[in-house]
Amino acid sequence: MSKKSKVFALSTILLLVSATSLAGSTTSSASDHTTLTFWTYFTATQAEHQWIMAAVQNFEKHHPGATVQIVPQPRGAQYFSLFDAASLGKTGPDILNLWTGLYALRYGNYLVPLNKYLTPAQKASMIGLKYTAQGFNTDNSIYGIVSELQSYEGFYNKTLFHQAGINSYPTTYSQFLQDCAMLKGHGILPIVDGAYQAYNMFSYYLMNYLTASQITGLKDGSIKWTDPRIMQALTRYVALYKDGYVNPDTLTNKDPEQMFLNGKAAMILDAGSWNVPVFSKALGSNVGLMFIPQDPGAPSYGNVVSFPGWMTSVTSYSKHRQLALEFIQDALQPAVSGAMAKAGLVPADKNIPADMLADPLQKNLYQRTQTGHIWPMFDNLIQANIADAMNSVFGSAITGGVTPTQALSQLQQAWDSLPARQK
Amino acid sequence: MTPAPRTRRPSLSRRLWGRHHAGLIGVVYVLPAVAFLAFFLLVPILEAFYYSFFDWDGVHAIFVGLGNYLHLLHSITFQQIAINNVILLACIPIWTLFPLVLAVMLHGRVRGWQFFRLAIFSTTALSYTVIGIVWAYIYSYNGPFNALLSLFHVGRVDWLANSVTAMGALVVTAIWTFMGTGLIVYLGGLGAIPPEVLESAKLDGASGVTMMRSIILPLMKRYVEFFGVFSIINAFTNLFALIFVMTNGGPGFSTTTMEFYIYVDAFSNMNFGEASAVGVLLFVVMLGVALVPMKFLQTGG
Repeated sequence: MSKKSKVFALSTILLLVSATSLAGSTTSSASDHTTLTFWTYFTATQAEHQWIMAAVQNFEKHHPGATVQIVPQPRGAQYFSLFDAASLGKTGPDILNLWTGLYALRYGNYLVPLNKYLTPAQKASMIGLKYTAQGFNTDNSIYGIVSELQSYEGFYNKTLFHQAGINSYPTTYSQFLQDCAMLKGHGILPIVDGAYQAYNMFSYYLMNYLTASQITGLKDGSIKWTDPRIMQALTRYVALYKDGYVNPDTLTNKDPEQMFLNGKAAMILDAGSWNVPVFSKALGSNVGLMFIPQDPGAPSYGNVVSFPGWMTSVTSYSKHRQLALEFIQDALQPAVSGAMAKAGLVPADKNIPADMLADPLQKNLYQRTQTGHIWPMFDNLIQANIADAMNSVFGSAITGGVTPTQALSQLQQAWDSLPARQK
Repeated sequence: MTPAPRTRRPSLSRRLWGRHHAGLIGVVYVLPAVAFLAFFLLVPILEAFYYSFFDWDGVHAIFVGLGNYLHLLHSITFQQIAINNVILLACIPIWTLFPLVLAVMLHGRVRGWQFFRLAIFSTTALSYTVIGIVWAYIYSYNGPFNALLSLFHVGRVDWLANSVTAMGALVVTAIWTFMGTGLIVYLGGLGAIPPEVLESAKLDGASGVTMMRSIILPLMKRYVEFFGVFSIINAFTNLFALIFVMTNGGPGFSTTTMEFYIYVDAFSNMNFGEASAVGVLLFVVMLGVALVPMKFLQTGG
């Protein structure tokens, strides 16, 4: 081996070693400026983004040396997978939005308890704060603040209803089915569904058979998914699809809202309060709220799904924890809560005056939530992986791939497969 | 008699390392690559094996021994997932031989063969995500496939929403995705066959199926073996992007494979220990199913 080759080999190794060590080294910045990273699944076109911008602007006004970088992430199960993976490597954000309930509480190890950073008045003013706390009890660790009261509900196109000869709002389930048949008879698609999530519409079928407090039975297993009551709820729910009242491409239709806005369907029932700003703007007084009726005497008759569906939290591994906590504090100021109302959404704030809610649908929803007949978003109160499995097996049931009995057996099997720590 | 010339005594280093001296320099050269592979390949494999014996949520790990494996073997969901992998395995003959049929046709220099070869090979340049999105549109209820079927008065089907048809649709997409690679492998093999062998077979009256069965397949055995193993590996470990984009494993679990379930179990169920066990099982299964065809083809002599 020549001397040149030896020198070349040694030089290569030294170069590689120093490159590796340089890549691993951290250089501290001499700048005083701090950037907080904020993860959200709300896109810039969604009304909730206005609240986020108001919170960011309020914070930056009070902290001239800091900026907040908003990082949009994909929605749904992918969002949680990304957060999980980032948190394992402690490369996640400083602040983030999460769906409340068990969606977020399984990440308690990665979130800062906010109890000592919130005053009693702040805790009392937030509607549904308990759903951000362990055991749904604010005496335990509170992992986020809530900003919006969301609802699952449907919307209907009044013009299409009139075209089918329907001049009154259905108050019973049989009237609701009759209206679907009349719409179908007039060549109008009764219901459009897509971007499929089972728990929206299914909530209203479950209300026929369970009280709100019984939802925890589904979580802890005291009420099995194969319970006859759940079976009856699913059978009625699946019948809506089997009878041809819903578009046949439910599982692959990516944009049902646009179909509803274009007047291609009379109702969209897999929707929520977050649709109010867009639907009101596009359809004006032609759009109304639609709630699937329950049977008289049902355990949760006339209830409306109303729940603080998402929260804002601080990660426990954030390198700027104190600053992130100050962001949370600033986000609770009235100027920021007001932004939620102005965006056409319902703030989860008891101190918001009702006359701030300008949109008639928004006000209607707010008034319904004040009646006390409310049902939580049950998918937030059961294990997140069971909610995911529900979407999957119910999707198979509505297309006839499995019977309701088989679907619920699979769901129960998924629950039985959970590790003990998740039950 | 002339005395033998005196040779210089070798240096100390040469006497110490001897003929391994040059080999040692080679080791030094490959060491960075080996270290890289060991760190990013071997360590994760060993860690997956280790954590498969734990109930691990990503933060806390509790030793459960064979608990994860036993749970998987008794799980009806995992049994269905394993059946999906068996379905994929059953499709391997078509997966392997379809590109061979295309290659034989193109080797025969049919009209426009250069265009067809380019068109088929271009599939290898597309990302699996793009392929999945395009095929999901093709299979959609209002997509071109249903439009074509309606010309023949066949009713529309939501191909990816039906638990019976979804897996078939996925397999067809996968075969389409990988046929470009197979084409190139087989064209290379066909090019190595002496032309006079095929000519004399034709003169003897062989054509079509007879030619394929009696002449081409035996001569192409090594290439079929290679692409067969390659296809098995792809079927078991390279469909994640297609499944994620097209069906997300549904409807139900009808298109969830073991590979996809590793992701679901880890990041949806936060069950990293059990997901590691699935990974280990997949490794063992893949090793077995990849080695059996090689043995089968080798015994043919």
